[in-house]
Amino acid sequence: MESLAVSTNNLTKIYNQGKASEVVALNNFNLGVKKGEIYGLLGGNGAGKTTTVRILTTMIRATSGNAKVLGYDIITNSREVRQIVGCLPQDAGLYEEFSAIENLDFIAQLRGLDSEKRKEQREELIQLVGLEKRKNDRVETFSGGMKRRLMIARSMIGNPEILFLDEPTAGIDVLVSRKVRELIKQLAINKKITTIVSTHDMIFAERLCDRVGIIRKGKLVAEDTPSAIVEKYGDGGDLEDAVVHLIGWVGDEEGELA
Amino acid sequence: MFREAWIIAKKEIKLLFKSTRRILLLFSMPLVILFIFAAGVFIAGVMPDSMDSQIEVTIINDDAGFNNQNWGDNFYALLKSMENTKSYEYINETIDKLDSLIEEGKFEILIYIPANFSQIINQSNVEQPSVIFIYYDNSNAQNEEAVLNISYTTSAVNQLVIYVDYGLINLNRVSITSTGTSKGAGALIASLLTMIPLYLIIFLVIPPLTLVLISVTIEREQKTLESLLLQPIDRKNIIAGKMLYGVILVSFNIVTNLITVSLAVAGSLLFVIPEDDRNEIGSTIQSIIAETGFSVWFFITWFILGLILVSIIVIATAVLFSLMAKDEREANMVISSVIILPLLGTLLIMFVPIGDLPGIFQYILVGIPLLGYLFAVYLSFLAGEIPIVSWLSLVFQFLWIIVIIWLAGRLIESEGILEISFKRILSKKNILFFRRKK
Repeated sequence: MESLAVSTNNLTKIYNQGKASEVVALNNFNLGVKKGEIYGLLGGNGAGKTTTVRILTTMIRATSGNAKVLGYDIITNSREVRQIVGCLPQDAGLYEEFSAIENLDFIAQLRGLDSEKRKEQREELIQLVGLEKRKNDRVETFSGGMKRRLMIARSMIGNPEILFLDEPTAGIDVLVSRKVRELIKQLAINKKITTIVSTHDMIFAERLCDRVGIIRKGKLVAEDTPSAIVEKYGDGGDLEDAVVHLIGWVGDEEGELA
Repeated sequence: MFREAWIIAKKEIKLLFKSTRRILLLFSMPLVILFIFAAGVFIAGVMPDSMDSQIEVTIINDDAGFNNQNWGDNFYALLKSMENTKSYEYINETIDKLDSLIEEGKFEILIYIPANFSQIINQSNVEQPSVIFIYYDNSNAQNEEAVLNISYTTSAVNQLVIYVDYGLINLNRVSITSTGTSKGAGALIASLLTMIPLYLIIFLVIPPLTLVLISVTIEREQKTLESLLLQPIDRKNIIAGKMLYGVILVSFNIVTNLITVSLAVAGSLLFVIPEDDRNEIGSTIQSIIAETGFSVWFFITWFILGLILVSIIVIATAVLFSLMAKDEREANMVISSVIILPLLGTLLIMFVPIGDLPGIFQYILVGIPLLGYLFAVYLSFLAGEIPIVSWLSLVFQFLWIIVIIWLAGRLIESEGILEISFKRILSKKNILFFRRKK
């Protein structure tokens, strides 16, 4: 257990509990992510990937069950969890009127970094995401890919030990997607950060993830290395075939295969 | 806690100066005030005096005189000769008509000079001053003004007549007792003065309110709220930061507006208004202060304290409402109702005799957030002092601040904060207590 960066125990999340619109997003969900690994959460829309990320980053609370992030309980030590975690939410944005530097600096201040460390980190991260030449320009003049790279840099402020990335390549073109993948790989490997990625991007999962977990209807239905998953469930195809097989296995409930 | 709130407030100030629209919003009101002053002075300058209707002043001079001196006659003669009062139409009546006139209220202004008026003036050992009674219909602003002019003439009686004849005689020997007949003494003045906080709310608070509102809704629109909530800070400090930003804006706005108003007033007095009128304005203000009869500085302290409290209420409401709104448009729609409230309050003051309502209703009225303060100002002017009910109003306003901030705190801690909107809130029960994360 010591080597686990993230562990969950029967995590359950029910939205609108007791009402007609009740939705079980997570159902006794158990997960174990080892320190230093890149872990991919795969599944259809509404499977519970974003809910998992949100619970583990303390944005929302589980209905029942518990989870630990580097030994910190997500309920009783939520502030500590947020201190050691970096997160790129699925639907994130930036302060459009601020420059890249100002966006990073604001978050660095909130994370309690002194002015020297702030300067050091923002310069390092700006360089890492390749925005040195545009660092003083307003974000509103940036392309979608540049914004995404800046968001990743922002999630790295304060040297988090665990990085949560929720759909980091969603809505961006194939070239930018490749750059983002390379960037995340570079960050995860060079900085040895435990990274949990929720994604629909099978190339991402196949090439970057040490292990992937497939979620269906709030439950982890399979977990292994991408190649092992392909071997077990791919039916001679690739990871996408394996995932389709797993999430479409019981049926095609509304939302799952959308 | 303050460090995190300050970081957020500082970020908002930085963002403010990066948007032309927001800077315009902040500086527009001082410019509007300057324009209103200029227009007001211009209109006052070109408006013909003939627009004022002739005021009828009924005089009952019952003064019996003393030692061959009749100060009642002197006072009457003075009224007919002084610049400010000679244009009024004077009607003489006899003492036997006094009661019926007062009872029926068939007068605009009624001056009653009692029989012992000269006697008391000339009795140097008498501590009580000699009194002139003025009754007037205070539903007409011109009557209020005329009463002030007549009151000013009373001191002229002292200075020009008594002082000349008797040298160092006590200058406080004549006083005026004035009684408004429609709503109570000074009701119209009180309701007019009640407009001051309304103006202040409109001019001083609305620009910061709009800016605070934008600062919250923009987090949702630019999708930065989630990133903010993911930082290792107490969520309540986000509220504190936005509030701090609002307080800074209100303070800044008050200073710039004060400078603008001072410049406008000084400019008007020096370059537009003739010297005689300037002196008249000065003495009118003095008369008003004398008429209110309570410590001006004490009142100003109470007044400013109340303004600070209602400003904070408005800012807190802006934060709360904008947290509930899905975008700026939705927030603006809801916040408009907050802006309409003081206008409704002022209308209520004008048409409902709040001062005559039973005490319990007055206590309820002054307990209303924001509006309660306007009512308290009115009641204070009316009473000529700061009654307990007005002090209580400040306590109520303070309690409202706590309630609104508490609600905003509950809201930001609720797990639906990212998806919330007024439409959703109104479609659900249990809206008051925003279900917390379980």
